[in-house]
Amino acid sequence: MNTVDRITYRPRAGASGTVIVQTETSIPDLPRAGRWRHRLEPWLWAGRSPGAAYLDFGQEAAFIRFLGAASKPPAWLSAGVLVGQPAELNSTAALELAGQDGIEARARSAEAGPALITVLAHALHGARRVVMPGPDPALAEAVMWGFITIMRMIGGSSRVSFITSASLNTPDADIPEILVSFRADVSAPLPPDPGFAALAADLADRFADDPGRLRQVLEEHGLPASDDSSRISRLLALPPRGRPGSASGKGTATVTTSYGVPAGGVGSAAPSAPSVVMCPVCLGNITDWGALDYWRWDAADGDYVRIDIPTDLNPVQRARFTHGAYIRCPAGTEMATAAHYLPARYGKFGDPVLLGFVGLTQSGKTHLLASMVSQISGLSAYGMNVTELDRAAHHNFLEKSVKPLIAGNQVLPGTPDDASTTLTDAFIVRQGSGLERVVALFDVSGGDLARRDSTKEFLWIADGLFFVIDPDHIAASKVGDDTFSNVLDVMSQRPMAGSAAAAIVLNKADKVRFEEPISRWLRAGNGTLDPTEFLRESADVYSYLEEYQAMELTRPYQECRKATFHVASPTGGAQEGSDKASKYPRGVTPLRVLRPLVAMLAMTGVLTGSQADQIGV
Amino acid sequence: MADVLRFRRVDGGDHDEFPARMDDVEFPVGEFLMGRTVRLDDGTQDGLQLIQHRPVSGDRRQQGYLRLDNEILAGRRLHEVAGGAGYPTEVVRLYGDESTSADPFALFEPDPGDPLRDVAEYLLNDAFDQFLVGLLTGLSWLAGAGIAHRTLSPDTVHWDSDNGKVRFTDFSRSAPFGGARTPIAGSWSWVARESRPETCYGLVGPTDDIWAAARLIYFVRSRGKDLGDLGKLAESGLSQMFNGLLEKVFTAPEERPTARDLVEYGLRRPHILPSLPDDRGKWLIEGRASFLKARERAHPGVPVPPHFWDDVIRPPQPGEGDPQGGGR
Repeated sequence: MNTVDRITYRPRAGASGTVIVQTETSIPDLPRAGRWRHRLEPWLWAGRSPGAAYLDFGQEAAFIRFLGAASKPPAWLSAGVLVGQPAELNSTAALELAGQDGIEARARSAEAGPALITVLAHALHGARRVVMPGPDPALAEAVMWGFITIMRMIGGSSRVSFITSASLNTPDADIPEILVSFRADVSAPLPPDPGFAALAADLADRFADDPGRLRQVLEEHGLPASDDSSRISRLLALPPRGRPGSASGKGTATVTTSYGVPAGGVGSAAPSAPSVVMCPVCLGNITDWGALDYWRWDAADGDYVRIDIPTDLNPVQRARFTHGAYIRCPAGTEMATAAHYLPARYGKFGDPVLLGFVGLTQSGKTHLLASMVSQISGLSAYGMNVTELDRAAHHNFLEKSVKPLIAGNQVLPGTPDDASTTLTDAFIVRQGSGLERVVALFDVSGGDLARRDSTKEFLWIADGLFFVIDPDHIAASKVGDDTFSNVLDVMSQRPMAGSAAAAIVLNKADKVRFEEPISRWLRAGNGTLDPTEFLRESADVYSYLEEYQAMELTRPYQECRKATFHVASPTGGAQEGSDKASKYPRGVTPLRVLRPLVAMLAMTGVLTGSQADQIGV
Repeated sequence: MADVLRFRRVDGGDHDEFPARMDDVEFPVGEFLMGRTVRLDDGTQDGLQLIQHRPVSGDRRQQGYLRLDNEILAGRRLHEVAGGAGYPTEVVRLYGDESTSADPFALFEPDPGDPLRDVAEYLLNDAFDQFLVGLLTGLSWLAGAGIAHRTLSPDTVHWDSDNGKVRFTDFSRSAPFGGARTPIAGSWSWVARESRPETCYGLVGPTDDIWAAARLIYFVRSRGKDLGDLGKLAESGLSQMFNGLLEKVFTAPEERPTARDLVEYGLRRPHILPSLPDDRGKWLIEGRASFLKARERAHPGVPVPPHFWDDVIRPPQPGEGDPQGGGR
């Protein structure tokens, strides 16, 4: 095996749109080359020419150079990629490979200063995801050069990934450490904490003046230091510089300790608040999440009330004070839409993963969601730790849906047609000791989805959709399912075309439990993460739909970025009669309801690893 | 007790109602299943006698539903695979079922046989040969239906001495091929290692039942003794009878011969095998192939995992083609 291998990708017109194909590679091992294509695909769709990306996945790393102007996605004509181990292919080597003349001088220029200070300030503060405006990829490379150089000088050991020109957000869960994204669609960065900004400005100024002198001063003060807290305290103890006009010339920087602490999140792993959070209710950008006021639900008044937080609280007191709080979406308020609120922790763990349920009325979406939530602790078998994001909302869903179904054997009412999108439930999911991610679940009425004039907002930014099929509808589905068609139309018009994952679920499979191959899969238990098992189930359900000439129901497989097929039975048996007030006479025993969720978490990057990467392709 | 039974007959059609008389006496017929005798009013004086299997009452009823489903699935599959040839005589015959209500049931024709545990010592000479042929024929039918019985033993395999027939009963733990094995609690004499709770692994397949079946053959041959060590196979003459192939049954399930292999290459009596349609699973394989084409369109160049087909196409076994070596 080569230490560093080469791959070239190009876009090609396919039957269902443009596809990215590998045209050359030095990798002799086809499965390995295939795995690289799927690992890099979202980055290839996100990248723009001219531009570059260095991606450190932990065990392996990739450097991508995007070349050639293109008028439609992907925004390049050719992508040259080097892949190898990070020891051989590190971020500095990647920037050298980018070959920009005078990159060090440009990194020290006044032009690079503001961006360098912002990136450095966020990194010193512990952020793992930094999103920056990206009008000039060459300047972005210079900024990264300066950032990486300074981080090395002070002993920062985090591995740094970057993309210098991106047109859209990327599923970045497989980047374990720092990622800096320069995005064409971002006009301003999230302002850093003033204290860290002052500290970063001092370092950037000293670096601009004389990198050698900076290294010497740092060494005199015990830097580089491997420990984060001692590194910051030693940086704060650096002597003031004599040069007038420098950022640090104003005095000693003070670093706030409360900024960015998530509500109730003291003691948890360092979160990576995204710079911009898109509201799933109104699609507005929330650029200042950490600075928003906190609100709480007042049951007596039936409304939200603002929480006045004393300014002198320590982090623990502050966390206690804001536990269970909400923020009011400022974007919605500005757009004069109805005021709406999100859990305060919603935007504190990187980009939330939004999952929705799509299907005709009575396809069983609500029952599938309720039975999934009832079994969500079973994700621990796949190495995931799950906690509720919003205890009140979770409790509400348990009381209104999960308990009546699972403990009361009651048939749940369908989701009413409603103009508003609401978060049904949400969880914070962490794989092993990895990053925490918010996974938000949305249930929408089938009637709403079937109407062409009603496009639910979250569909425009959903990361994954469960396409839910009732076996009784299959025979009538030769011409398709209006809800599927409408949703896929929205998908095709999204700026992030093709970026959603799909889990196509043959729901209420107990109705056809004696038919092959349903009988096999319905009895297969919760299974393992083996991607071959997911692929076999996908193949068999696809075959089943094909047997019934219901190929329209397989459209999401062709049109979504990653997709799987499943059988599931939220109840294990049929209800007694068709009366909405009826019960499940045999009791409720969900079967295979967690599998679609596991697949979805893998396809959306919440669940990572070599096995998870292969699910859905 | 006179009543009406509403059910769907295994030979097709919609649910229908039949006047029936049910006995009050119940008896175990499988794991978490109870049985009772019913007589359908078919115009005759005694009526058509059937055995009704139902889930147990109480806190095991949920498991009883699943066990009953297993029995219904096996019965329906066997009926489908038998087609016009009639229901295999080697398995207890499903007459009909009601699978959706709160009180589901399956109706089976009565089995006049006795458990092998009670009669094995009497199966000598021709009877032993009839038993042998019946056992392997029954297993071939099950393989044709894509079902593993999973709990063959001297208690679940019966011998009908009047008709010289083997009959498999109690399909409550049966499972379709290709699904993940679930643990079977029971005597290690009759549960193979891959299905025991401590060592359960892999997928249900066509060699799952052959391990217990081979032990049953020794059990009958030795007039009721459990197989202690493999050396007994030679002492009993079974090793020679099967041309050395019987020993290979006691290996990992992936390396075992099937019942068909034992008949064709062990006994070398292929003429006794039932005539089974050879397209079982064909549509599934064709469907998967169609899916892989769709996958190639969606994800060009992505390789198919190396063991993708293993659950529907049995990989070639070591030594196949060499009868003495245990293959075909």
